Amino acid sequence: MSFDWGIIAGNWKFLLLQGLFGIGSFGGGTLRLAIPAMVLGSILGVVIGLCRLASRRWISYPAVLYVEIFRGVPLVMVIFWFWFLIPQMTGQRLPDYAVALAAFVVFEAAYLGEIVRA
Amino acid sequence: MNYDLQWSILWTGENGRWLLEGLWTTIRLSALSWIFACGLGVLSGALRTAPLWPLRALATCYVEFFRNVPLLVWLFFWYFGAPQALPRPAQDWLNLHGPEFWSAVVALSVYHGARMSEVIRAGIQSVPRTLFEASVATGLSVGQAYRLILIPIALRLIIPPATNESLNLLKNSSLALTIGVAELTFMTRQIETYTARAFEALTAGTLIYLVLCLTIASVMGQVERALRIPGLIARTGRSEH
Repeated sequence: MSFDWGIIAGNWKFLLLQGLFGIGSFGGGTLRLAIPAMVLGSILGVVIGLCRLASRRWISYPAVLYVEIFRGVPLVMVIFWFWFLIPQMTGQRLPDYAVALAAFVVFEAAYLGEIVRA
Repeated sequence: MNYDLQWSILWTGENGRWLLEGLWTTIRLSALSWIFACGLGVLSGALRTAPLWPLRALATCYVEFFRNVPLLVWLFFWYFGAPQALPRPAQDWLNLHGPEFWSAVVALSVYHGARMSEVIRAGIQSVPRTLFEASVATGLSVGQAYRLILIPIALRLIIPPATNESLNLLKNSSLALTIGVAELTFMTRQIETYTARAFEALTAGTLIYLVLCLTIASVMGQVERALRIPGLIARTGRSEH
């Protein structure tokens, strides 16, 4: 088996700019997705965590349901749900980036909600 | 939202069989990976607390290396990259026996082994140090003290975080669809493609995962209560997915 590291050297710009920072014609980028997802997910997570601690049942029960559902389902499944549901409900197709971001935020908030509660 | 539901698509034609086959593959993939991950986890978790620094360093390298690369990257690595480095007969065997499945098993085992190792290390460290010293003082070797005293107690202490980690393994096995393993998420997508009924297919997949996870969680809750050691509480926190 022979290696050709030249392909990395030849494509490092694409790898870093597009892949890591999301600068380019594709809709992604690790940091461009991860940083907003972390910020928004934390905010929603704090809200969910506080709701779970509420003494009123009509506030705490939906939060429990939210956390249990999203913690019991794989992330890929949540992404597929958003991919299908957003166009169904809004009647228009959103960019891939927005779908992925929405799925990450909702999924991450369930886990962060548990941490906030603890 | 106007969308008329046709739940019958879930059991008409091939679809019902596909769902069950997907479920069976998910269970096989997760169970096999779980066994390997637990083995690797106990081994490297114990080595990380060992009294010899080269062993600790080796285990730390394993854990940090495999835990800090996304599982998806590992799946691609073990499927597209690693098999080429195998000797010819091993490659032939792999190609006959479903390379996707075995690559996924290796990726999940090694990644979750590293994560499980952190849980087990925390468990061993939460056993009071004096217990280890006492067992060595009674004449046990270090290996025996680990095997007979520390690891059995640690394994009872870590049931909640280890359950959590095992459920993460089950859920992460869905990523195997990216390399073509026909597990539950893959089959859900397939039904969706063939019937164009996304809502029903996704609901079926989601419910199956939910039932699996909640059942395992509640069974392990019972096991935890049965095996609890009075007076000893694991200091291990809830781990992230």
